[in-house]
Amino acid sequence: MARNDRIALAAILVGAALGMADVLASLAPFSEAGGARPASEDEQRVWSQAQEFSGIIGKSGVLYQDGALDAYLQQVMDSLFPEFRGAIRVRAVQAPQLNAFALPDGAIYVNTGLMARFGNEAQLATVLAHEGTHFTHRHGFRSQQNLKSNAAFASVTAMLGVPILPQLLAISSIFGFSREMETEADQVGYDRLQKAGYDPHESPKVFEHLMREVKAEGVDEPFFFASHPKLKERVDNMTRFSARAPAGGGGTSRADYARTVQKLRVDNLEGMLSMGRAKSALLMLEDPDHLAELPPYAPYYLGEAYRLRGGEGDSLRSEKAYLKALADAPDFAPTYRALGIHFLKTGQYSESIRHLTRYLEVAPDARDRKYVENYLQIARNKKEGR
Amino acid sequence: MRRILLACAAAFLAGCVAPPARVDVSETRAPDQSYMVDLPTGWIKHTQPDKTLLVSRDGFPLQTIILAHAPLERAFPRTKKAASETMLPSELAELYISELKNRDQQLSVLKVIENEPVRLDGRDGFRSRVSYMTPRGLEMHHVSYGLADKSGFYRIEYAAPKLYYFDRTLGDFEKTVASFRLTNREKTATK
Amino acid sequence: MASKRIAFLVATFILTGCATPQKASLHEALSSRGEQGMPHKILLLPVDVRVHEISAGGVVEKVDEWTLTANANATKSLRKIAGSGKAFELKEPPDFTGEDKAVLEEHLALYVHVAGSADLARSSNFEVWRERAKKFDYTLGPGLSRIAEHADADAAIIIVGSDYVSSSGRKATMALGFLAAAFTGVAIVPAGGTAFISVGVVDLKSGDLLWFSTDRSANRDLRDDGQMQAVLEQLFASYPGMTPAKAARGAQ
Repeated sequence: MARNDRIALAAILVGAALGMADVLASLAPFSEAGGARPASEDEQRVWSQAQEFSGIIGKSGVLYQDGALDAYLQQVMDSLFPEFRGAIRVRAVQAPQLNAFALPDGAIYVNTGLMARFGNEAQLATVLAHEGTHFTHRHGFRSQQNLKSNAAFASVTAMLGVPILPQLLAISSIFGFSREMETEADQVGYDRLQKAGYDPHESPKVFEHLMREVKAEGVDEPFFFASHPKLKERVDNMTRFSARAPAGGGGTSRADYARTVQKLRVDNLEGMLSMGRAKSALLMLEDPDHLAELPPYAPYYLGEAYRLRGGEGDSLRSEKAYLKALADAPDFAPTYRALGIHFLKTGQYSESIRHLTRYLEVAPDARDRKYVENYLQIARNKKEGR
Repeated sequence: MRRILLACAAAFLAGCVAPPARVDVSETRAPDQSYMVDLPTGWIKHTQPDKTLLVSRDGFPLQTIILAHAPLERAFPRTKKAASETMLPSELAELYISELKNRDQQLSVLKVIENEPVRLDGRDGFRSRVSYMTPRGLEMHHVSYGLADKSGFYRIEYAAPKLYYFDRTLGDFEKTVASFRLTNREKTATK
Repeated sequence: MASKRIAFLVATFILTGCATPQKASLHEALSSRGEQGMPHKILLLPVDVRVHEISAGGVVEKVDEWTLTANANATKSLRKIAGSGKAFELKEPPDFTGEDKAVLEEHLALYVHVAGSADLARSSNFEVWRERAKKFDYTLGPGLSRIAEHADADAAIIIVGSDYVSSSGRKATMALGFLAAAFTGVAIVPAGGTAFISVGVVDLKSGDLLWFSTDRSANRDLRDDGQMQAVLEQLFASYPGMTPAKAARGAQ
């Protein structure tokens, strides 16, 4: 192809990309449920993909099955976006990762891991308001189009030797929404929060807590806000917005929220521990306020988290936690097993036998009976010096 | 399953793996010489660059036997945990299932159907069976045996769709497991 | 999330390399009986050919209207081919509900694994897998027999495929001699437009994959009814009892 043709073609492609950017910038947010529909074939495609993705989520068994919790989530969402009732649908996803995501068609998914972390309904509402805004402001479609046009832009300009900053495109296009869209979701979401009567001073706390957890766990996976700097931006935005807000507002009752999500929190703890996420579990369980909101046997999970972390002094910490669980909830069978195994490993065979035997009495149908019987035999053999 | 297919594809592209071969003689030595096992004859085995063996009769989407060996300190790379030969079988199983759950989203919500201690080549180990759904709603079952020895962590796995295929060749897999023996002949007594 | 379909395509493209036409495979139980052993009343299950657009930068998007067009083309073509001769009678499926629907969906999910295995083996670069495919005994198992009763059919035709159409921007990019394809680890973006279609005839009582054929070609557009017709005629040309004349008459 002749040089002039190449330049002309490149100019057309670049122009198209920039033109696309202008069109996307002017794409108006949805104003209410009735009008929340794709406005173009391109947008319809993105909605179809979203529906297909929701179908996959439904078939894959990852949805957290709790009708009452779904109803609660939906009620909070509807209080934030009353004019979008029916258009924004929210469900909980069984996953310990700190994640929530909004699909372009109004389907919002919140991980149980994230929900378990909130201290009250206002904090939950902060995230739902943020995610709901991604839908009302069509960020999903705009991101997809940006990715296509920017990727084209990048490939063309790379060919022609024009320098660009590919890492900016990557961050904005692949790991969450662009900085501008996230800031828009912060602002509009914050306004919704206030209008619905929630205490806006709770909003920065959500992200501060997430930042602590990111640092503690050091996970690499993409999640809700993708990167530490992005989380810092959320904290800064929310702090700035709420600085102007008067004191007071609803949704701050820890007790009410704790009652609603107690089962979810326990399920989430079990999920986290089963995936080896001891540090994250400890962040929650070492908070006495949080521990107090869990059932009386919750110190068992604290013991398990220490055991799995396996750091210096953790063996003794786990024993102490198990004993607390035993004192507070003597009918909770797993504590006996945990203590039985702990004493086996620490050479206290009589105690091991006593607790493992008690476990099988309290849980005669235990699925791990064979392991426990095996350990009982080991403990007896050791005790007898065999 | 996606990971198995991609692993095969990547290995082929890398050009550093032997081509797959039919199992004509059942007795098979591990690629790293650490164990012997009788594989089902007529099946097809692939050797991965990391010495993992993948074996199938009808194709990996329909059934897969996996045999792998890793040093104790690298037994569970995703959860960054090590195995140890003094670990109780339930602890080893716990770490293994944790590692499995961290492989991908589908596996993160797997259901544990069975989990029990077993003896494998005279050593204490575990046997687990889990299930999970594919994105198209097909139920997959996955049986795993594992043991830790001073020479490393060994796992023998079998995965297949529950519908028709799982039971069909489970017996072949269990025979393979029964034949498994480490080439390091020291055995540990029951602890 | 990764789809199994994409994973099979990845493996297929990588393991098979070039697009060579494959002969159809006949179930080993039928190899001596040929036309006599083939089913007569065959349900046409909803065609599942997905058409995607690849943008200039390699973004892949499924396009619903193109997909509907391709599926309608396939259905129409198959009706013509079936109506042309007496190789088989094509039956419209009833509206499956309840347990029938659940059983069918589960078996269709399994079909992707079975067809994928068969296809990978048939078109593998490795002799050992091609040899395996020659003993063609792939099956879904007998779980579909209740469908046979309720639908009054012996077998079902299952058509699954994917087409990747380059956008005009991408074609322009390619014309400049640069291919901005990206391997995401989830889906591979084929070079240019590439169509893949597989057709299987499954015995509803035994679940056996009685007859199976695939086509993968560059520069084929399944949205075009003429091209879809051509692909299916070519595939069915080797169907037992289907003569080229019959297949061609079907095109008129």
